[in-house]
Amino acid sequence: MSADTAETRHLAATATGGEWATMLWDDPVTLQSYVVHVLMRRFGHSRERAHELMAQAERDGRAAVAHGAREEQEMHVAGLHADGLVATLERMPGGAS
Amino acid sequence: MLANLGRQVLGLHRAVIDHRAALDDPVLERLYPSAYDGDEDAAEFRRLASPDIAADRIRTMTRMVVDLETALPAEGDERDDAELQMVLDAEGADAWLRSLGEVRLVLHVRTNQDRSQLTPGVTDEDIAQLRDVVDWLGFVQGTLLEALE
Repeated sequence: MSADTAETRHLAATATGGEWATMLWDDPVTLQSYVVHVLMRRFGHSRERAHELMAQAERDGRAAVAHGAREEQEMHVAGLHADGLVATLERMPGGAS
Repeated sequence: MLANLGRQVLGLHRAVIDHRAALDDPVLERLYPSAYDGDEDAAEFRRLASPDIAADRIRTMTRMVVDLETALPAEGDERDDAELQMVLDAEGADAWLRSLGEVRLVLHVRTNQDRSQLTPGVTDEDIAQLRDVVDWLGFVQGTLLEALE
């Protein structure tokens, strides 16, 4: 990927402030109960919602556990990494432009 | 044993902070995964976020290691390690939860690595024992989680 393209994308992302999502990825080793615990604690989800998201990640490989401004999602992703989980950020399709 | 493993993991995180980390170590790939699809974004995120994450991990892991080493019987004490009793406050419980999971993850990655990538002299029996430790750590973590609910 050329530096041009990457920079353009970066500018586009920050200029529009488009919606970003924090994606939690499935990880077969990690305890389900631990994932639920982390989701409840980090995002204030109810136990039911946290369980739903964990199950979705298991089923689909990944699940969106939060969304909003890019900087906020970066914080969430870093926090999930620190908790030992695998997470990424993605642009949400059809985000505000 | 757990304290020993904890100290080894501490070494890994210190290497991240000191920028001495081996970038192709599967353990570091798992503990500091890519946050973005794009290489440049991922590299930038790693550069900025990893030292803070590593520092945080050093704090929490140190907490568990110190708790363990403080609770160890003194030399000559005949008590079985397995009977150690720990009293944890909420902060300690969180630190233990994360640290137990972290040691477990590291062992899981290591015991699934190609033998040629590990320290020479590691035997099948060593690997099998470490896998038992992974299971045991999962059990301890699960029990702690139940106790917190």
